[in-house]
Amino acid sequence: MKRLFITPDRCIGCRACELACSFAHAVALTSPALSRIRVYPVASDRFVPVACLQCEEAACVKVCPTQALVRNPETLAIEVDHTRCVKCMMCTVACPFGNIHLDLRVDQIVKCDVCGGDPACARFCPSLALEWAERPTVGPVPKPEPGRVVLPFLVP
Amino acid sequence: MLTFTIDGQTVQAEEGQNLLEVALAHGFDIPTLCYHPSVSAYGACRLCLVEVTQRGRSRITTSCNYPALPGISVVTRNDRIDRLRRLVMELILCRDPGNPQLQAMADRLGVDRTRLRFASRQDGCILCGLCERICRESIGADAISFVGRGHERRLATPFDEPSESCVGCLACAMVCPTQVIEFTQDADTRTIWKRTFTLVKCKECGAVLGTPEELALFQRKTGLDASYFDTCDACRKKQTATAFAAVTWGGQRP
Amino acid sequence: MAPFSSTAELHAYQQALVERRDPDRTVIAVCYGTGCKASGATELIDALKKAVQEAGCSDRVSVMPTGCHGFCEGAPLVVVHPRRILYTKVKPRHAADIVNKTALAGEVIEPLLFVDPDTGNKVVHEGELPFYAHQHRLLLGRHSTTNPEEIDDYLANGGYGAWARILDEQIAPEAIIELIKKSGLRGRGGGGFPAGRKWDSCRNAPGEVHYVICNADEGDPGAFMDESVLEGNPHSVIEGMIIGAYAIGFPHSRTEGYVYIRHEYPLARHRLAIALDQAREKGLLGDNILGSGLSFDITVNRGGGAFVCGESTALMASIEGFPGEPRAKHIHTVVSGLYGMPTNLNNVETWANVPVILNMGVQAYRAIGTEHSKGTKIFSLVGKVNNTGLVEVPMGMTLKDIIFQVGGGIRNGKRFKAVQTGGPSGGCIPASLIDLPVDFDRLDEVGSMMGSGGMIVMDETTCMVEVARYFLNFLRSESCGKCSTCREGIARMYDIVEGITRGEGKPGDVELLEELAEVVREASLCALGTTAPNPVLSTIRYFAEEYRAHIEEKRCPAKQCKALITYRIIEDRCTGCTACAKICPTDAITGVKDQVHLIHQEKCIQCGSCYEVCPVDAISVE
Repeated sequence: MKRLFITPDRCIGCRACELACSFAHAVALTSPALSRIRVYPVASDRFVPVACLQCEEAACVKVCPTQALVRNPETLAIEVDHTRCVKCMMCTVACPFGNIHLDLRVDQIVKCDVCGGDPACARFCPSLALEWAERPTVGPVPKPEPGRVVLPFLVP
Repeated sequence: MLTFTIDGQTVQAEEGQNLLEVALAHGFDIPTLCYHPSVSAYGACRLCLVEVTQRGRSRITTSCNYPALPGISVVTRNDRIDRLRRLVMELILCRDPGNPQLQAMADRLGVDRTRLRFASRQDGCILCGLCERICRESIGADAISFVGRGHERRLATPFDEPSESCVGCLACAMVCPTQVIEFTQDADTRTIWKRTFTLVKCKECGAVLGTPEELALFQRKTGLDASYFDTCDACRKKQTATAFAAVTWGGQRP
Repeated sequence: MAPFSSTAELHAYQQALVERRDPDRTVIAVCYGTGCKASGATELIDALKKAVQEAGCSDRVSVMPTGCHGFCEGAPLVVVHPRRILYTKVKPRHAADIVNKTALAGEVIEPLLFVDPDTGNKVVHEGELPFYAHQHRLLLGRHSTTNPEEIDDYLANGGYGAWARILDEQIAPEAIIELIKKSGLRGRGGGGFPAGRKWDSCRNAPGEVHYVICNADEGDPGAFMDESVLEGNPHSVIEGMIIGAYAIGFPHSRTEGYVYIRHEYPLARHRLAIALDQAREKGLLGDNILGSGLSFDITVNRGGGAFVCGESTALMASIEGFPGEPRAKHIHTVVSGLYGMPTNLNNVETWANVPVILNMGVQAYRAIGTEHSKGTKIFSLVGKVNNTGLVEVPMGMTLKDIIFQVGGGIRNGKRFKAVQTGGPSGGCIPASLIDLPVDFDRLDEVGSMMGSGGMIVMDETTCMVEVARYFLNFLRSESCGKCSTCREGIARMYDIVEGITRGEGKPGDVELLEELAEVVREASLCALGTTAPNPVLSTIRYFAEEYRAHIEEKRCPAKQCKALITYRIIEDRCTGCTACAKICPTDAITGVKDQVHLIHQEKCIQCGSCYEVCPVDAISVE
């Protein structure tokens, strides 16, 4: 079973994941600010991507009064059933990691759904900081020099 | 699993499912104003009429509270169903002919106006009861209820006073199919069903989290620690990043 | 005394009761049903008791309040036993005479006798009253001889005997169900569903409790059958329910009983509560009844006054503490009813039939009635009929016999026009169908229904559009309001019909009514909605001409719709007596004494007071 692995040590802070996420879930407009994954710089050269961990005993699922958060048995991701959601926002408050939000553009609760089994963030991560895999790649992966990042989707 | 047909197409359903949810799941288009998958089917609006044939006998019935049964055949549209749905829509339109959501449904059904006299109370409420069911069944607050009967029926808190049971979660307003449950919110307070709540804010950034009653109710229902309910999602996410950094790079300042 | 622990103790007690009782004792029975009570029976009973005391004859004469005898027209009624001398419209001032002359000296007081309007003959004995003579009073027959507040009266008359015999003869519960099936008993609450089949389905439904409910939420305007049975013979209902509990839930399940009784029946509730207490005291309710192993008790649940709570699922919701709203019955209540358990609901009259059937035998019971409707039916006969009251007749009696033989015909010699049966959801049956035998199926065929047994007789002065308006008005307030079709549909039909009665009818109104009737009937959930258009449809069907006259000619043929009529004084008849001017509430009539008077139309509100008061018929209505 594949999962989304995050290895902050390899993150180069390029934010390609944010862009990819917002494209993948684009509604009317897209902007990295609306991404479900976010990259936090914790030092000048250290970055931490944060996305939903798809917790086994998830607080969001527990707190949802309308059973609108349902785990997809194929991807193991917790998905939002918008026909059930009443936007009480309790999931956004209860998630201890802050990984579920109200998207004001579409007035909907949004969270990482691993793009249905092929997460765009991992696809476009140039440094294996995000991986969609059975298990994560072990060991250091050489970081490209800052400023010389070649984003995969720009490859001709 | 049981099998039956919808408009000639064989479909499978779980026992206990109703016809409407099975039909919607299979992509059939059935109009409804009072159905919500999270709460029990109620059958108030009567728009989801279908024709069900069972053991050779046909009848018109609402699909939302008709159980999926093996061997039945369901017809979602024919001239008679369409005509009855249009009449139902005309009746519902009497509640508030100007309501945009009702107008949209009327357009969908090919009803351009109602030939009938309008109802005496035209507040847009079509008495579908979704607010009442979401409040009672999903939220567990049970703050509002139908009052009166017949043409005088309406929804209210007990004695029309601010309800002690209401937690101000706004779920009722969110599910209302005609969007007529009023509430107001400013920086510090939220008011709904005549009750004003003082809002709880994120302990980090001051963003609004909800009402204290709502947060307490959800905490009680889930058994989660109170600390789950004091910070907003944005601040939490930042904290998560910090925690991850600590795990990755150890106690040292990065 | 200790509760009976076996049928032997019950039989011994009954034996002793019968031996102790003097069948020739003089008992002055006063009808103390709601109707007679309203006509002064309370004061009458006090006066009679005082008279007995004053005559010093309380050792020989007793005064007994009873349940409704049925002949409400003669209220308050007195029957002096053992000769069953019947007095009607008795006042407290007659009390001394009744005690001294009739009770003690055996004299008949002529002025208090009922005079048969057809023959002019005076009726002396209760049984000779034409009103009773054409009835078949299986259920109501004992009302004038039984004090409903004394379980001993019921026991002395063989009460609880059907139940005791089941135990003595060890008749299995399944065999009881077979008997009820064979009897052909159909539910008297309106639907006419075979009671035995219902019991059978309920018995076979799995559940840890089987509920047995008596529906006493009789809400039809003008109907009081169930009220009367509960007021007059509550133990017959209790006995029926005990037998039902045994047949449905014994021995495989626990059984519990409920009586859901409407708030507006204080007397019935009071008597039922007394009867239940007495039955418990005697060990006829409670744990291990008569050593049978059956434990059963009955809780009384008071309705809040909603007509729709007479619908079985709404009634059950109400008992559970929820608003009285029907739910879809795709799973029948016999499988999942009250609190999700198998529940058997029958109405008062059905339950009261149960001991009667077992006592008289299935064959004898089946001999009464028609092929598919067995036994008797109680009707409350009201409206423009001479003998208003409660009548119990065999199924299949024609409307004509009920209205003209039992009911004594139409009041004031007017012409019979229609009869409305089945309550607000029923229909109006026109005079042309007067030979219709009354049973479940025949009433359905003509667009009406049995309902619980209301029968409202209408004469030529009844406007059928107004009748439809009246019932729509009732239903638009009494719909629970859940289904948009029933709630809005009835209200909008009301708007249209009300407009017609006000002279604002338009061409196309009748067709629109028929369209709405279809959607209300087809798309509403419960029987209230699906039958609500009946009064409109049946009046359109049989009295289309009256709708046409209202809409096209702005004329009310029955001269009832106020907006469409004008009162005038016929000049050559008016004697100038001033009676009309005096009674007119709006001072619309002027005139000098002994001279012709004049109605000022701009002030007239068409109340009809002048028409009624004029001694020389000088007022015309057009």
